[in-house]
Amino acid sequence: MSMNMDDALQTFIVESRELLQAMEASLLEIGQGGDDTESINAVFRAAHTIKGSAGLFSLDAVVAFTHVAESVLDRVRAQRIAMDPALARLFLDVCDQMGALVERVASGLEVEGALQARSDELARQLSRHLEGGAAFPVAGDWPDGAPAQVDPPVFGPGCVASGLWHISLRGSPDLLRFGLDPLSILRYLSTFGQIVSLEMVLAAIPRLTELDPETCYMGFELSFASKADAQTVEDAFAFVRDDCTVRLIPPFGSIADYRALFADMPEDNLLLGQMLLRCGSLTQEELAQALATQEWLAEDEAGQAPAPRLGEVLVDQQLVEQPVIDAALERQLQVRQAKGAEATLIRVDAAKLDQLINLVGELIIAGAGAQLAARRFKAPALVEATAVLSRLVEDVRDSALTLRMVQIGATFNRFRRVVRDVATELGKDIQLDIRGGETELDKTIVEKIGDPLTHIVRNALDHGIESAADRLARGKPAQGRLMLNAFHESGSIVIEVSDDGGGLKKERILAKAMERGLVAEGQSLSDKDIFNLVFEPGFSTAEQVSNLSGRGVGMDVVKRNIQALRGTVDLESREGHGTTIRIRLPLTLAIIDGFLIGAGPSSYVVPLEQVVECIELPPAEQLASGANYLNLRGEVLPFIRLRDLFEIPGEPPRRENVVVVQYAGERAGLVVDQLFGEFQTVIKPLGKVFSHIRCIGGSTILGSGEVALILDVPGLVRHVTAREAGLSRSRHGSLVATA
Amino acid sequence: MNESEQPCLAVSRVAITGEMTIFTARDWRDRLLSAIAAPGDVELDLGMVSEVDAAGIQLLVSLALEARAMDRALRLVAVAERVSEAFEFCRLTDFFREALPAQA
Repeated sequence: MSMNMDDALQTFIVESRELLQAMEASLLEIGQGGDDTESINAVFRAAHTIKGSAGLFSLDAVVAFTHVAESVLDRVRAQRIAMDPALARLFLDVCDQMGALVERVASGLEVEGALQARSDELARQLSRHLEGGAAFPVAGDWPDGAPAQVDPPVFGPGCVASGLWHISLRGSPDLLRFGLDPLSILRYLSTFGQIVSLEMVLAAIPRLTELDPETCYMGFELSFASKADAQTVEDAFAFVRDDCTVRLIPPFGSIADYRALFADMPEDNLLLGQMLLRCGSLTQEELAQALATQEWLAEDEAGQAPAPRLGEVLVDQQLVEQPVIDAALERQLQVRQAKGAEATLIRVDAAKLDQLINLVGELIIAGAGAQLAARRFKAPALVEATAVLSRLVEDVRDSALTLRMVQIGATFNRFRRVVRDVATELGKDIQLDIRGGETELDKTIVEKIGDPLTHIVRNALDHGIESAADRLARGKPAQGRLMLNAFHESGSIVIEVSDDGGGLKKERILAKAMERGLVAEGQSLSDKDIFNLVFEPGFSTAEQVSNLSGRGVGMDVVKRNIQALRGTVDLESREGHGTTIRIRLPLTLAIIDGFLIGAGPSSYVVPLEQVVECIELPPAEQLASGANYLNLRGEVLPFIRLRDLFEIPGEPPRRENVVVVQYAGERAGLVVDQLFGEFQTVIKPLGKVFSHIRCIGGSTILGSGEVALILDVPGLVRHVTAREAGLSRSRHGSLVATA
Repeated sequence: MNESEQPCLAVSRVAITGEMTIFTARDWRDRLLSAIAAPGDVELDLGMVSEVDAAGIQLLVSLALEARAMDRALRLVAVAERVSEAFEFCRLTDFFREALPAQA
C-alpha cells in the first residue's frame, strides 16, 4: 500500500483521533448509571465512521479490525448481548488498538508484526461475543418470517393499520459520488430488523445513452419490521441525511404522514401508490384516503394565496398535533445549527498561531516606541493617533491570545481513563469528579501540564486513597473520591487535585526529612512547610513501592516542570481527611499586562494582575528602625527595597513608593523610586545563564529600546515572607542577586 | 479489471470482470455503450464480477432500459453470486427475468 499523505488522509487521521477520544469518553460513561443506549450508539457511530472512512483509503488492516468491533457493537445495540464491565474494558483496549492502527497509518507504515498480532488477538476476543447464533439478527428472529409486529397502540382514525416502518429514500444526484452506497445503508437496516418488502424506484433511471453512470437516479420504498426505537432507525440514515431525501414513517403512522410523502416525492402519485400497496404499508382504502385529501389540498392551495404551509394545513385539519410540528421544526433548526457550528470552525497550524503571537509582540514593542517618540515631539495629533493605535494593538493582542486558549476539560477528561485503569489495577473503587472543565488556558500550558498532572493523580490514587476495607474501618464511604478542579484567580489558573484519602502524616515526613538532612534537629516548621517537603528531590514516604509511584522520584520533577511554566505548586492536607494539591499557572506565556516601575536608572515590570495597590512609603522616622515591614491599615506588610535587592548604587529619592503585590494569598511590598503605570509586556525569556536567578521571571523591551526586567512575584513574595518568618536560609532558594 | 469482447454473428458480448462499482461505472458504461451500438443482441457475462454496488446495479438497469427502448435482446449469460444477491436484495430478479439465464 503506497501512502501518499495527502490532505484527505490527514483529515481522516485527525478526525479518527477525535472520534476515538469521543469513543473512549462514551465507553467510560457506560456503567456509570443512567441510560447507556446513547453511549453505546456513540461508540458504534465512531467505529462505524472510522471503518467507513478507512475503507475509502483502502486501509485494510483498520477496516478488518474495526469491522469485528462493529459487529459486536451491533449485537449490543440489538440487545442480543449486554455491555457488561468486562466487555466495556475489552472495548477500551479495542479503542486503544484502533488508535495505534491510526497512528501507524499516520506514520506512513504498514501494519505488521506485533501490532497486527495484537489486532488478531483482540479480534479473537471480540469474536467470542459473536459466537452462538447468527452474527446478525435474521429472519429467524421473526417466527415464520412473519414480522413480530409492535403491539398496536390505540390508534385513531387518522392512522394506518400497518405495524411496519415505511421508509422512502431518494438519493441526491451526488450521493454515489460521495462514496455512499444506498445498498449498504439498507443492508445495515437488516442488522436490527427485517426488510419485509422493498421496491426499487427505477422511474428516474435514464436509458444507457443518457446515463451519467456516477449520478444517482435511484430511489427505494420499503417496509421494515423492527423492535428498535425510532432513534435507532433514524440513526441508520444519519450519514446520508444530507445527501438523500429520507422519509421515515413509524408503525401505525398517520395518513397525514403518507400524504406528506406523496407531496414530497417526485414520482407520479399513482405509481408511488402502487409501490406503497405492494410494500403493504397502505391498504387500498388508506391509499384512496391519502390521495383524496392530497388532491383536495392541491386544489385548495391553488385557490388560496398565499398558500398555507403544509404544517399549518395539517394542524388545521387536526391531522397532526402542534407539538409534533414544533418538534420537527426544532429538529430542523438543530440540524441547521449543527451545520453552522461546523462551518465556523477551522483548523489552524499551531505554528502559524505562534508566529502571529510573535508578530503581535513585536507590534506592541514598536507601538510603544512610536508613542514615546510622539510624546517627545509633543505633537498632540500624533500623540492622539498613537494612543488610538495602541488601544487597537491591545485589542489585537487580546484576540490573538484567545486564539491560543483552550478549555482544560479535554485534558481533565483524559483522566477518566487513567482513574479507571489505575483503580482497577489497585483493586480500589474510585470516583472521579471534574469541575471547571470550561476554564481556559494557553494551549502550550495545557500540553505541558498533562504529565505533571498525571503524576499527581496517580500518586493520589495509589497513596492518597486507602483501600475500601481501610476506608470502611475509618467510617468513610467505601468508594473513594478524586476531584479535579480548575478556576481563574488573579491572572493565574488554579488547578486542584483533591482526594478524600488518608492525608499526609506530618510526623513521618518530618522524620524522613531529618533522616535525609533536609531539616535540622529541633527546627520548627509550619504545617505548610512540612507538607511542601514532599516536593524535595528524592523524597518519598510510601511504605510500599508499587509500580505506579513511590520510588521517590516524581514530586520534585513535578515541581520543576510546573516552575518551568512560571507556575507554583503547593499542598494542603488533613490527616485522615485527604489531600489537595494546588497548581497555579500563568494564563499565558507570551504577553501580559504589566506595571512598570523604576528603581535608580533601571525599569522593572510587575504583572499587573498581581499588583494590589500602590502607597507612599511612610517617612523613615515612622518605621521601626531597620525593620522591613510596615503597618498597612492594621496589617503587617513585609517589604523589600528593590535598590537593596538589586544592589542599585546611589541615594534613593526623597519620596519612595510601595507596590503591594499578592500571590497565593500572601502579600508583600516592593519599595521603588518611581511608578510609571501600565505597560503591555511582551515576555522574552532570559537566557540559560540567568536561569538560577530566582526573583526575575524574564525580560521585556521598552518602547525606548531599553530592556526592563520582569519581576517574578511568586519568588519575591516567598523570599520576603520567608525572610520575615526567620527562614532566610530558605529551602526555596536564596537570591543570587542579593549576594 | 479487464474485459474481452468477441463480436459473433449479430451478438455483442461483454464480460465484466472485477468491480462493478462507482469507481469503474464510467468505464463499464463506455464499454456497454459500444456493445449496444453494434448491431445484434447483447450478451453480458457477469460471472466474474467481484463486487457490485448501487452504481453497478443502476448501470445494469439503465442498460436493460436501453435494450428495451431499442428493441434489442439482453442476455445475462452468467451471474456471479454477488450480483444475484444484489438483484434479490433490490427485488430486481423479476425486472431481469427475461435476461437472466433459465436456471437463475
